[in-house]
Amino acid sequence: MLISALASRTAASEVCALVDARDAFDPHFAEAAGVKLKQLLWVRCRNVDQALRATDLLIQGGGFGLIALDLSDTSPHVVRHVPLQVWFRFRRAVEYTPTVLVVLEQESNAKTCASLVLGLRTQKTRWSQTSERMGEIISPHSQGFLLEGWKSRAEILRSRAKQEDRRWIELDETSMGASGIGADFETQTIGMYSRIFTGKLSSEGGPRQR
Amino acid sequence: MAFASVFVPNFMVQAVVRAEPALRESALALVEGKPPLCSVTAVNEKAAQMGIEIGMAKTNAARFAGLEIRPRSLSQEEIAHAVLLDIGWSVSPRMEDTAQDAIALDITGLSYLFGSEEDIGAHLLQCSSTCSLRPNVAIASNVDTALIAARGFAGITVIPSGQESKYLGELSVSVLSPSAETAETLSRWGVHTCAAFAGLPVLQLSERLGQEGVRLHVLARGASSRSLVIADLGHSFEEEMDLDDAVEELDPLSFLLGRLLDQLCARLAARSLAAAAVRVRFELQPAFENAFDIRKETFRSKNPSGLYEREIQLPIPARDSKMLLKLLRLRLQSNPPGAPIHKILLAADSARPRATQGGLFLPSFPDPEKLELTIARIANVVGEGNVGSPSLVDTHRPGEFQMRRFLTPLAAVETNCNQGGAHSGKQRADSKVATSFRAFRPPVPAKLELHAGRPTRVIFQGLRGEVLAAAGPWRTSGDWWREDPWQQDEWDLEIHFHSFSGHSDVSAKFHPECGLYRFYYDSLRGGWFVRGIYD
Repeated sequence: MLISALASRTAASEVCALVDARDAFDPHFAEAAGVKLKQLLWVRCRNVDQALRATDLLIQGGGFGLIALDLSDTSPHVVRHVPLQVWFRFRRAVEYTPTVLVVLEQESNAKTCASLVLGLRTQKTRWSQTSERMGEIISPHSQGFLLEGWKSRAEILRSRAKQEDRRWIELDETSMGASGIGADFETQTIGMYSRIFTGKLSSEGGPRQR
Repeated sequence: MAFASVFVPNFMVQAVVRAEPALRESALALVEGKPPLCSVTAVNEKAAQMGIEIGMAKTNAARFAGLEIRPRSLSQEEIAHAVLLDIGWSVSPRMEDTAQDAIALDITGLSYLFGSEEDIGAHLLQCSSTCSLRPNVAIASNVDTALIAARGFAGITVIPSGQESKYLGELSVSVLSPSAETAETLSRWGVHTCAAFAGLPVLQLSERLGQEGVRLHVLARGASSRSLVIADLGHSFEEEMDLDDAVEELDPLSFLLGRLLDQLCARLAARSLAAAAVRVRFELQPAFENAFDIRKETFRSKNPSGLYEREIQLPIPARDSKMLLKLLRLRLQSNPPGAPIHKILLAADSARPRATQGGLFLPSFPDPEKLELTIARIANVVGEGNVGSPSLVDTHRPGEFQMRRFLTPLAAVETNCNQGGAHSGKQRADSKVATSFRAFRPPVPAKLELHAGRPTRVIFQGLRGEVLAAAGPWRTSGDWWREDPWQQDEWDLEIHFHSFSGHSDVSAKFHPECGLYRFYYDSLRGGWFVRGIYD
């Protein structure tokens, strides 16, 4: 979802920033997903403290279409100790600005500062196999066994937006290119995402299952 | 035709005062020569009123209470001369570099831009004041008359055409800069003013003083007519400062840098230019020979030449001295000089300033000057190479990329917007959901059990799991001609974790039950590694 959001915002000619708390961002996959890397400011941090300070500086700088703070590789135990006033400070800074702030973490910590909390869950991985008998590996160099994609589920856990927007979302991701339905749905998701998040702090969390 | 001349009286003193503005209100004497034979070479008005005379020995001058004594600074005079040229070019490109303390400009036709001749003179004075100089300005119908009037009259003088001799008449003949011999002769004749000199018959003057007498006579009458010798347009913007006491701390250094940057930016503004890059060079004070500390050793290893040089490349040309000072401060904080500084040199590469047209429907993007500051501050937090824009490298080596300097893509943004919103809307509609991947940097070592050449069990980071599905191997290799070739077999593995080993990592507690990972076998190192996780 982060990559899709970055791709959407950069495609709209906006400048985005990614604060990567554990230096896990992969530019190759991002570019393949449509992220315009020239419009992306990537901050590679080593710990949460650096990530929070960098995010604060970016928000104060202003002018970004989307700022993503990626804490999803940081243990919840560490993120839980981030003082609540940090999230309030972020919220106050982005409020009434066109900047979208997205925080990715394993559980929601921003509490009431978040305008929207989404829970993301990977459900089922899809593999394609040319062999008729699934699960039977005939050759170690079989070219017919491929990772096709997986199904993800996004749930709105808390939202300050309208109640009718609170619904289950099914997101169909594929590695080799999405079907028309998936792409359409992704586009809608990004659209809703930006409408609700605009000018508000948002936190995307919940128990993550990869 | 109309010409303007700008003359800086008491140039040596003004050059020093420009570098040290606190001296402007003091009695100041400049000395020159090798000790102990230093003598006074220039004084300001207050010092002259105190009785300080040019040629007086420094030891004698030092007896006057309240007198500030400074050495003559040739470098400051060169900079002041460059400033004077910038002032001239701010008005007209047709400028003559007449002397170190004087310039002449062709201002014909400039009334459309600046207004009357008085307005042009006022503009020149204002520019000079911004650049910390206090010159005289004179405007006349010929070059030499303007130059002589600027030397003779304070402030702004406009001489109407045909009244040159009347205006110059009241001036002393010394403004004509006669040779010492001629000046003595004129003094013996009792000729002290230009009017008296202009009244002498030319033929007899020629017989007695030669060609010089004729030339001076023409000048005294204001009847000279010559063309300007146009000076080449300069692009050097440098400011320097010698410090009596070496500066070690950042705060006083920032104060000095701020003053130099103000002057540099004023010069750039006078030329309607901006700085594309700012270079700073410090001459560092050598450590004491007997001093033995770690810092000295560090300093020697880092700065063997006793110089500290840094360059700040700006994403867009800027001449905001406060912003440049903040950038310099941040750079100095991250890379301090390591020794006291006794000389500062600041230079700027000039470029045309940015001119952009804002639009109501353009997407928001960070202000380039502010963004540069933000990036510099973040670089102070996370390190210089950890902030920027990722750029893919033309290689098949897995995970290879470069961090490049982040630039606000103004041009790209404008181009996209000019193409219209329909195009971007189409792009969005066509966009596909692609897989995202989280890389482990560096790759995590792993142990794999194979069955019939395919992975069945994995152990890494204290986690043990069963392979539910696997795709691979995808074999890649390359750069065999280099010192760091690679040869890898990549696998995409879906793993079900069921237990932790005793030495499990803390982060392992937060691992989910299932995961989709990319492993690879490094044939050259002979081991398995986890490249990352699909997310």
